[in-house]
Amino acid sequence: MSEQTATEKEVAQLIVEALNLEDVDAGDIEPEAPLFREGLGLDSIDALEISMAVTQKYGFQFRSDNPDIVRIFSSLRTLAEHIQQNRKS
Amino acid sequence: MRTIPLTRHHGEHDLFAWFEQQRISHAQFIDHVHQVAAQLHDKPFVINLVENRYLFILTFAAALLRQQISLLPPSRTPADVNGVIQNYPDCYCLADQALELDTPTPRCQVKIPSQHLGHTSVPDIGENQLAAITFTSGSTGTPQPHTKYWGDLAYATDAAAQRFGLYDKTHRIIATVPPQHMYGFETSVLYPLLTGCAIYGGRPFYPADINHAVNTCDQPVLLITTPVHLRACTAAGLEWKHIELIISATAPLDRTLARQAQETMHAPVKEIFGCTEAGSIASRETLATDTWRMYPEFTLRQDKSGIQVVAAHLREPVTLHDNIELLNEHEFIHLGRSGDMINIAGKRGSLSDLNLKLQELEMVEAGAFFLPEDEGRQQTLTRLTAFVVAPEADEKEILSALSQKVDPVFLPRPLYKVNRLPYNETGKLTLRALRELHLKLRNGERR
Repeated sequence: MSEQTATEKEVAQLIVEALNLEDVDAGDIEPEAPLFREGLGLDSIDALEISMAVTQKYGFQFRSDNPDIVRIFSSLRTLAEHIQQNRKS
Repeated sequence: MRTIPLTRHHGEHDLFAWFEQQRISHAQFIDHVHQVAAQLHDKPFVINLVENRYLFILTFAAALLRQQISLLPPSRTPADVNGVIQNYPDCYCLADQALELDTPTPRCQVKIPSQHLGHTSVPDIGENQLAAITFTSGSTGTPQPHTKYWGDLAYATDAAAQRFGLYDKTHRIIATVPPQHMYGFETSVLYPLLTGCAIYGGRPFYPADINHAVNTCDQPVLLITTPVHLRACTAAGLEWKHIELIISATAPLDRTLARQAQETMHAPVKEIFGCTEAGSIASRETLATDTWRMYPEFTLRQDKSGIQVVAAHLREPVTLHDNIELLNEHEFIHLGRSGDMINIAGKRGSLSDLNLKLQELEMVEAGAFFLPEDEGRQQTLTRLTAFVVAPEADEKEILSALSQKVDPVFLPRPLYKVNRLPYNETGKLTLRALRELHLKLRNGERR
């Protein structure tokens, strides 16, 4: 697996905490693997939970009419990149 | 034959639906319905999986005009959709998203018409016309059908409209729930058709989507949503205006969240109580009372089989799968779901049905779902867990196979692989044994 960057580490930890994934070690989340396994691993409620945690920590909002929204949530790497570009705090 | 018009309480030029810059008047909607009706396939049943809300209303109305029955599966998972197709083979599918089907069921592609052809007649629909069949997941594994006649839907909508004062003011409805779900169907499809309210054509999901939709309004907004969305909205740090009333359903709303929502979004919060079988039956103002008040002309009665809902439009009384304390025939207190039924993020399921689907997987020798007690963790949603005996497969493989069969909200989190299930001497799996196993595994003495 490829190394997690510093932001990816932080975001992985945020996902594990936000979703209460007791059996997942944040360091084990493969940066390029799908977050929503075949579109279903995590579900839409999880997307909402992650968005809440991101808004609280990084101070920006998600919009579902963003044409990139599916890509942004496709992996830890894409989500972390999006956060890096949009973070206000 | 007695009929009820497809739409009521709208003037010709009144707004019927809007989305971004697009405004659709009542007259345009009627014209669209006639155009789309002519494009539908010629079959008795139509599975409507359309996600765009205006397009859903349009295709549902067009199907009514063609006297076709709309089938509304409990979810979009391949197993649920294919299960419905098996029981209604003479059907076609309407969908605006990619779809996986086991059968060569025809698909009909419909777009919002771009031309105005000048159709003006508001269709009259027979009271006894079967408009829709909704489904609940039954304990046997097959979705259970519930028939919805046009006259009955109109009657129930009228009761709700009286309760929420929808005839007194022209509301703009914004809904975060899917139109296929009974709550979403009643509030975001039938309210717009039958009460004169206008509907937002999209399905806002994130707090910023909902906030944006609300800000496109010039009239009081009725926000139709769930506790999950309300929690996200109150935490989002956004400015809210224009909201007149918030209605929440699908899961109980706790008072703390109701108060936060009321303060942040500057609108009273009311809840609807209902089920797929009977539709909405009662409401309450969460911060004012715990007591649910039945809709006008709806009553409850206790008999041998439990507590039943009685209303003129229900062809037979509906038994509630809930633990209810009856105060009188118009009021009750809800004590929780009973027995087999569970509710995760507003989706209702049957534990025995989920167990069956888990045990049916080839790689699984034995397995059982378990819903841990809510330990007062307000921050996260309580999810199902499952204990599975499957020596040849790993957790990921089991989850992947299971995800083909059950709605994602019911996927176990976590899924515990075990060597054996804690059956007692008589071969039964008791709740107590599952609870103990869960505690043990969660505290780390696992595998």
